[in-house]
Amino acid sequence: MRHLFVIGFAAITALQAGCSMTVGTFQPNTHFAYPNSNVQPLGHVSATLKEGSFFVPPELNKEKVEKLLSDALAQKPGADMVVNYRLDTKYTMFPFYTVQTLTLDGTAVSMKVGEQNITPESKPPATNPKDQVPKRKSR
Amino acid sequence: MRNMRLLLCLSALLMSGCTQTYLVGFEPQSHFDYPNSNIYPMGHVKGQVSKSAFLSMPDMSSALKYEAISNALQKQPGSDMLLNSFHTMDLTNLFIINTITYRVEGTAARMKAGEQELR
Repeated sequence: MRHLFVIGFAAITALQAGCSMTVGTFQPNTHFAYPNSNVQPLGHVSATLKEGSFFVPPELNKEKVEKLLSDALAQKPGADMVVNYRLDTKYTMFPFYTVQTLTLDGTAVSMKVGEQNITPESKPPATNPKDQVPKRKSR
Repeated sequence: MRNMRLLLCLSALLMSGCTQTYLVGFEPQSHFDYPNSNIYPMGHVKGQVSKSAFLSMPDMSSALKYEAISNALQKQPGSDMLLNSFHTMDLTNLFIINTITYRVEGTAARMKAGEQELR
């Protein structure tokens, strides 16, 4: 009975070994692009953060994501955001040990904000439908 | 008894081969639109990519969506991005083989970046 338990436990840990799972996305931009700006591409950037821990998988928090982004932006001086980027989170399981890998891959750009020539007559549209003035029925 | 087994196998086979389709969402743009650019719509396109895995589910990595979008953009040479697209995902399991099919359809568009005059 004891042997069976040991063999079963070993089989489960062996099955877990080297198993990995990746979840990710492809998105247009990391930051808001002002319409009153000129955006220039600076080149391809890529950043990776790797962390491992025993028994419990490593935590994924805001600080880690911000570090990943700042690492990517630091590769191109003057970069303000990353566009057309791929972001992946990968967990690789070993017996009692889990490795978390975050990857960011995209194009760094710089953004120079100015002011557009907008005619004074134009008003911004009302966001709430209740605020919109109902149209008069033509007779 | 033998018929019972056959029926059981048949029902397992039918159940395992089913496909479920999920709506991933609507996206106004697939790629970044430079504010200092002109965008020209080129036409409706569709794209898809499939990934399979034994025993487990295939990875839902960024490659899945990226390759589906790239596949759609290839249908309109010269296009740079997809506008007003919607994304669906088919999950198919056939015995021990699991397949994910990522589908995307929308308007292919070309983007020509320049420089806008700002104060």
